[in-house]
Amino acid sequence: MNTDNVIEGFFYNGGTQYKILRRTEYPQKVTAESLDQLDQWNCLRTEFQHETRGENIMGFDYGPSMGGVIESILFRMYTNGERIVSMSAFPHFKERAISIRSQPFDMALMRMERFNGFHSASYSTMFCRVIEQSMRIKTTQSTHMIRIIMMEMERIASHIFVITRLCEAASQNIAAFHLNALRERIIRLAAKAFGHRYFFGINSVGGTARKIHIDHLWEDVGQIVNEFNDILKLLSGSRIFIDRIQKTCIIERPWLSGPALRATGEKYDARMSDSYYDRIKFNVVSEMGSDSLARFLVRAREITESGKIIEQAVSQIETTKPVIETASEKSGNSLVRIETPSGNAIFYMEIEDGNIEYTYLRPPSLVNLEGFLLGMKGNVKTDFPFAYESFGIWVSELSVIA
Amino acid sequence: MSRWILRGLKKGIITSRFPKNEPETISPWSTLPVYMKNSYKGCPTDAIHNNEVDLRRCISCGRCSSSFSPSLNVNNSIILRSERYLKKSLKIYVLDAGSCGACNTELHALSNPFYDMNRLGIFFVNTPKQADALFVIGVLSEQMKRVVKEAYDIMAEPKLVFAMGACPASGNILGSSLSGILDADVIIGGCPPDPFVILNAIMNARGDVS
Ligand code: SF4
Ligand code: SF4
Repeated sequence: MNTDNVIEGFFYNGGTQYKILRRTEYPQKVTAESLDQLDQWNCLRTEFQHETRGENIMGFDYGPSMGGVIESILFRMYTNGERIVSMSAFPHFKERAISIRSQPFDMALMRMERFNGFHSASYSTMFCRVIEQSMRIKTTQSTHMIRIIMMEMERIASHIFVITRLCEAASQNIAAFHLNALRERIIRLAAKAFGHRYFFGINSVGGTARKIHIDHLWEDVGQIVNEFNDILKLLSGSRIFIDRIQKTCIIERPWLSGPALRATGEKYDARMSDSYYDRIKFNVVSEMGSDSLARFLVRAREITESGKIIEQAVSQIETTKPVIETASEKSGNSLVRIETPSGNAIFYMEIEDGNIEYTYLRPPSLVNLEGFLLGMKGNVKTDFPFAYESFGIWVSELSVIA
Repeated sequence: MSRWILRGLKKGIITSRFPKNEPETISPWSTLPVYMKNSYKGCPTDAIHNNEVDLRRCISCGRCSSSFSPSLNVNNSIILRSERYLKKSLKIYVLDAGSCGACNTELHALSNPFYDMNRLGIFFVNTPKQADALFVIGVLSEQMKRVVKEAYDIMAEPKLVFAMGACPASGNILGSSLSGILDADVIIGGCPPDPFVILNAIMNARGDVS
């Protein structure tokens, strides 16, 4: 399947509409006729409506605050019995309006770290890179490698978290305990190496802001990855677990993002064309099936790849001291893609005279939430947790960045 | 199943001895910074006054590292009211009012085998009706204000309100705090608070440790 024409982003700027196609480096103008089809990618979207009306069809609300789902969001399931006919989502309850336009870079960066705190290394790196590219700031190889290490540690922690949540949903409590302990260990490594469990405060526009401590980091990460693979073997042998996630929430769309896309057999990963990874060898993982099992397997195999990436990145670091490079241009614009643990995020920014004039951010959860809702059609209500958790959706990143 | 048990046995006991012993580890910049030398004027939340840091405002950014260093002190909370009746068992309902996700996952971490909050009689529940403590995380989005109030109103007495993290404590750099919506009984500092800091705050709020 040729997915080069897939639209990954869409925004309005100065009365003109733009779209961002996969594998392109600049937004393109859009004609008025194609707008209906494009609105799905509008970052200002707050409602994901798929209402079904009809005899005996009832809408059941789940949320916005409930113990089963880790963040606040309202789901409405339309059903005439056990099967879900369609499903809507209303993620705006916990929506934050995060202002970065016209803000000093440092304040905007701290806000970006807290856009999705669980994936803060990815988003803070993306923010720094879009400014660095726009203002022609030449960052060092060590900065690139430190950022890669943070993002890959974050990926390991995030993937383990998603798999833990799947185990909890399937009452695989012992597996969940073991996985939870592994996530704790990777987060403690992050605290030891970077001074913060979620990498806050390390990135800076132009480089990194604090000295890091990465002695033995690779060995420790490698041990966690090996132990994860041992657990995976045990988990894969659990019929109860596999039965719950196999053929659950099948969804195959070219516009999905990250593990949800790669679970459809599509080998697309923003790291493939990311210059930071030019000197790093890794495999892009894909699976067939497009169901919760395939999404689980993609994540599980990516943990090994992240371990390999960290090993290579550690060996390419020249200094662990903070280094911050300065700008050679005051104005410019740029588009950056980052493969966050949940999928690729796109950030477009325009800078005028050192001031953030315009931004557009398309997080992966925006498209994956839509994918989850469409995939739930025909599933039974009890499939909900196995389906939702398999996407690794973060409601926090559906907040508005302006 | 036996292979799981074998794996567990091989790992030995990994659960913390806290609060009997000191925490085995702590996330440095999630603890309160303490003054070392020189003065620092660039705090993004104006948390520093007379070289002392207000835990409600500190967002663990580490920008002040030239003058301050992390205290590594697990005691990073303000207890405005404690409830000794909840000493044996505390059931927590978590309410995400507009979080970034990190406070959610730190709370989730409390049930991992390192912290094992159940050993201290701390449990999560899926409805505020069964809860003794309401943990509010994140800044207060307009739409969640009503939800927070409703959750509090249906809780039975005695009950405690925890404002967990810089978001509900002061609004962080992102929005509104809990103040004016509910009165917090316990304020936990950090962005996000370290799991040991959360446990310590809970123990203090029910009069377990001094
Ligand atoms: S860590 Fe950041 S928020 Fe806290 S006192 Fe230092 S500069 Fe202020
Ligand atoms: S206090 Fe910090 S970590 Fe917690 S929700 Fe707010 S921004 Fe996120």
